Amino acid sequence: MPEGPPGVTDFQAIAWFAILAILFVVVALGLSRLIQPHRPKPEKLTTYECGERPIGQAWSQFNVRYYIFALVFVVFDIETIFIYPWAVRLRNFADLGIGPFMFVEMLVFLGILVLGLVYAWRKGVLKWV
Amino acid sequence: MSLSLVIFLPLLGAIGLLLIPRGSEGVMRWGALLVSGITFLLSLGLLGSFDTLDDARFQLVENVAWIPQFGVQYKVGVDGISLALILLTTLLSALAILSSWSAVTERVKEYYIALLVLETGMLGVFAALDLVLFYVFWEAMLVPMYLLIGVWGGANRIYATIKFVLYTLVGSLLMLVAIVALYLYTRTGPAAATGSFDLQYILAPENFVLGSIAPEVKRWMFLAFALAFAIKVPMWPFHTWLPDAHVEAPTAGSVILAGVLLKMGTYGFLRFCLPLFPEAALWAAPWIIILSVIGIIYGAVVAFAQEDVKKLVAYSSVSHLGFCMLGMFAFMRVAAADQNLINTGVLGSMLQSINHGLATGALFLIVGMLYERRHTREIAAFGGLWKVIPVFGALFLITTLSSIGLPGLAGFIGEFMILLGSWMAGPWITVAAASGVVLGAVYMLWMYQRVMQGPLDNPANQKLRDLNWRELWTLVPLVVLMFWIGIYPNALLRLFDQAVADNVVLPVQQAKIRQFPPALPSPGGPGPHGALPGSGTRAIVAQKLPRRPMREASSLAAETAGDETDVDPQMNADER
Amino acid sequence: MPTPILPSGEQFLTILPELVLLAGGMLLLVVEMVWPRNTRLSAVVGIGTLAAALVALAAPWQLAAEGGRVPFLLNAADPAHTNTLLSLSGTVVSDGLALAFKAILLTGGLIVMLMSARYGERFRNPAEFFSLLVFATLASLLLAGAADLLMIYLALEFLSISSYILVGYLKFQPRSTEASIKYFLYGAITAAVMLYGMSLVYGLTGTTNLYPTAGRDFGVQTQLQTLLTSANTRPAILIAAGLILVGLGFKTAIVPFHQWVPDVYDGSPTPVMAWLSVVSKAAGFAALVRVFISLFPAQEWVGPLAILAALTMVLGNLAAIPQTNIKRLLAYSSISHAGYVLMGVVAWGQMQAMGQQLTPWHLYGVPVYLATYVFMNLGALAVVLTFYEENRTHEIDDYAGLSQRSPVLAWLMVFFLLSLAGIPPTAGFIGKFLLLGAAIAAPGLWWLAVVAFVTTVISVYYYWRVVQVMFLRPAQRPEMKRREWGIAWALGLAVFGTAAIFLGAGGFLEMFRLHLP
Repeated sequence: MPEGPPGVTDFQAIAWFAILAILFVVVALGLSRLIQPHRPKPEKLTTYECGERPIGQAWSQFNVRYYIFALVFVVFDIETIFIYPWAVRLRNFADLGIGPFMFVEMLVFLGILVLGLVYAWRKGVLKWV
Repeated sequence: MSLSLVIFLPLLGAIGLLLIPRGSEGVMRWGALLVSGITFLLSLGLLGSFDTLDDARFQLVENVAWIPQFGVQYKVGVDGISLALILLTTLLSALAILSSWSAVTERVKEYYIALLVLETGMLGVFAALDLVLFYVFWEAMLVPMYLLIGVWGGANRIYATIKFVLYTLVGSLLMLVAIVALYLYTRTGPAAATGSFDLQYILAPENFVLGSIAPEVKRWMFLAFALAFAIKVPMWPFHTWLPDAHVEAPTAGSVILAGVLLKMGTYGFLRFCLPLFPEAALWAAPWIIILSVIGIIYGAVVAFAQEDVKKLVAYSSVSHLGFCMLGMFAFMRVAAADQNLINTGVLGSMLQSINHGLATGALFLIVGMLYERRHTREIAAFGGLWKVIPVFGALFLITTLSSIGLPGLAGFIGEFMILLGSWMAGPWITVAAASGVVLGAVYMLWMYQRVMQGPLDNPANQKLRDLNWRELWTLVPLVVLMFWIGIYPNALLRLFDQAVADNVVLPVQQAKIRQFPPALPSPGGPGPHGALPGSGTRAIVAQKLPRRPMREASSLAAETAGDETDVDPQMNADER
Repeated sequence: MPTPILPSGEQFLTILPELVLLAGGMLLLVVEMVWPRNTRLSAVVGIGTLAAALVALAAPWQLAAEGGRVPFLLNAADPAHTNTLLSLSGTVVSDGLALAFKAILLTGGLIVMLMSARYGERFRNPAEFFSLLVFATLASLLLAGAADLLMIYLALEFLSISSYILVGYLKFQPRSTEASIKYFLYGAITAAVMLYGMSLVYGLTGTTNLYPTAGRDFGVQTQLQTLLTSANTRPAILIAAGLILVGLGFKTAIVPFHQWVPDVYDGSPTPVMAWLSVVSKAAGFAALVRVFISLFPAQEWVGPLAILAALTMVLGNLAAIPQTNIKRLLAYSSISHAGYVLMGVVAWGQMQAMGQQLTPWHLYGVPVYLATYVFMNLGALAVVLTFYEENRTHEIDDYAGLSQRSPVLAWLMVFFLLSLAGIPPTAGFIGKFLLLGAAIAAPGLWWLAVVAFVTTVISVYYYWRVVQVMFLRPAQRPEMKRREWGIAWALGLAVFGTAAIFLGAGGFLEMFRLHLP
């Protein structure tokens, strides 16, 4: 851990990370472009819609339920991201003697989310009409 | 006798009225009358426990901490000036309630509640010795007065009320700013930790509050206070709300407005502006004198042109209050060395405040009675009423004569003392002001003539009934007082002469001596009375109106000596 | 060596009111699941939750008081108190500002909850509405006690998101939906701008904790003080201050971040408007005071903020004059009140900038004004709501003759409007008195006091117009009959507060005395 301000090394790490990420994309795409076969067809330029023939305009109205499902999904997505580092560190917490506390704390967090899910369920949000 | 009881009894009465069910209006009327009557009797009781030989001292003081963090207190107490005005207030409030017996038939409950709450506000204003408390009472009157005019008023009342409210608020909020600014200088002396809004604390020279304020700052503060009071007085050119408010107000509202509310303006000058900022008052005096004279003449001239009796009386108020302001400020133009007649103007101004309350209050009651009978106030609609209602006519005549200053009636004494006082400031001012007296006599008598004399040519006037007992009872006390003050003014003067001398005139005099040390030739020039031996107004009043023997010889001698040698020991202490 | 970050049980006591609110809000969801559409039950639970939270506030109050005199605003240069007043890894602070504002926010929340006790009947999920109110109040409490930039941001977003939903809760009324969308767009953008400012601060200082905490001897406050001396970093800090102001200005509705106010207030359900205009605003001011007074250099921001305060007062009051709808009128008046409070903040900053000793005016002014504002504004809105429930209108002209149709309601309205105008004998007078005093006492700010004075006169004009209509115009409809316990209690509390703060001003200020230096 860097002691004291300002945490320049942290930012260097982030900068390296960003550069590597960009490089990775550029290298991967560039490489595939180099070695791919090149056979253009008009069908290949159309919008991809699960193999179906595209119908109508892209500016069509979506059922609002898509958004609700997406929201519920995002909530649990974030939850997963939160649980991972917690799980990794739980042993350290236990070594510090606060294992049970951290465990209960995560349970409370999950409890809140579960209550929200149950509420959504009871209110029929998860039903697809 | 508890001062707070007198102040809050009407409020308690108002709360009591809340509990009376709608419909039983007789109970409400009697209840309100009872409460205001008891308040009046209690205020007479205050007079009993008040030491009139020492009326410059604040007596009956009650003091409770209210916001100790800022040194705000609930502090009430009276000197002679306050007590006189409190008596006037309780009397006029009771009469106002009596006068609206048959005039008000709609929303009776709210009406009496408004009147009683208003009374508490007015009494509080006159008794408050803490600047914040004063402000609170000052503002607390706004709503009941607004409702009185707005709900039970005439046709054009909405315009009149909003004008009244905004005018009043502009002045009072500026005053609040000045109060807070003044407070910031009080963090010296014993109250350094919290500061203080206590008037007596601020005034006491040993606390170095006023001495620490720069003269320019004092002028600004003076102007802020003075504007609030000038609007209330009202001084020309801040008077335009008054005729509107008066004309639209119901009778009781007009009585209270003319009798008490306007006096709060002059009271504010006496209690706050002059003692707190005497240097600034001296600086502003020429302008205020000019405005007062303009007001006197303007009010009189405009009153001439009025076709509406009530409007005429309203403009006559502008003129009369101009007198009060003139008397209060004229003495400042007099050289400090000339002590003669110095108090006369201020004393006359105070007396005239009371007289105006009695006379104009009575006039508004009379106009109200006329209106109740004929439902019009047009002068042209009347004529020859004396033949039909002689008792009414007689009381009307006495009141009119008192209002124009006929010797033997109250108005004369006040006007005479003011003119006497203003003579020192400059003969031309007196001449101009005296022309206001003449004009006043003319328009009042002309109005009286057109209403009461002449042919009884309007058939609607022929069957008017004369005063009933209730109406008689509302007018007679006022008329009696007019005679009493007119014949024996010392009865009233001795209630507040020392208070005027010590609490109002003395600070200004000191400031003046600070500015123009007595060795210099007096800039105002000696007036005709300047040659008299230094004796002070108290002496003159005492000579003219014999005082009780116990204080005559010794105290007068002491005062006279003090006047000549060393005006104020504290003064010298300051300079050292 | 990792520092012990174990939050002891005692540390959780500092957020006991928040925990109570969390539990209550969740309980409300359970209520909705088990007894759907039971407005009465859910209202009782909601009211109980807020009342319990108010009682629970005694715990952090007690804890803070144990360390002796508590500073009103925690300062990093006061190590004795940074140890006792910070908790939960330095994210939560319970200094005087936090505790006073939590009391204000909970009281406001409680009155709003009482106001909406019956209002909930019109919703399909009343308990959900109440639970959102509880959660939004929870967020406002977190904001008031936040001692970490991230915490401030999270609390603000939590507050905003709950508010977006509440504003649009009348989902079948297009105006409500429109209000929600407007509020959301404005809120999202300003929050993003604020976050950018915070990230600048983080980049410069390397921490988000405002105060030094256990295991680290620096916080944003201490870091900024050193960085401010450098000509290189100073501009960046000032830019960050400006960006953060955008987010907080949006919450507190100061000009020029006020444009959303009239439409959103007007479109939202009346209890929600009440909540936004009082609780949300007060929470925003808590954060504003903490961030600006304790982080950024006062001599730099006092000038611009003084101008914003003047503009807010002028614009809010002038725009209120032509309004014909009582909700819009109160919306603009709420903008103007933000200006008055901002004047108090500016006066405080000015004293700091001039290096002068703070007077009680400056410390008391802002919280006391907001406390009085809770009572008087909620009182006025409770009257508006009662009136609407029977007459289905918010037009001022329809208030004609209210003094005859319902004298009690009319008199209450007069009382609250007087208070809003700052006229005694009401609490509003005490608040305005303190703020005017603060401005006059601060050197060089007398012009702001003059602006406040002039705008107050203007405000009297439009408040008075309502009184005018209620008392001087004849009634057009029959007497009002409807009685309702929730609003009656709300009105009672509001009247009590407005009167008691005036009469017992000394005692009321004494409650804040704990926090004076």
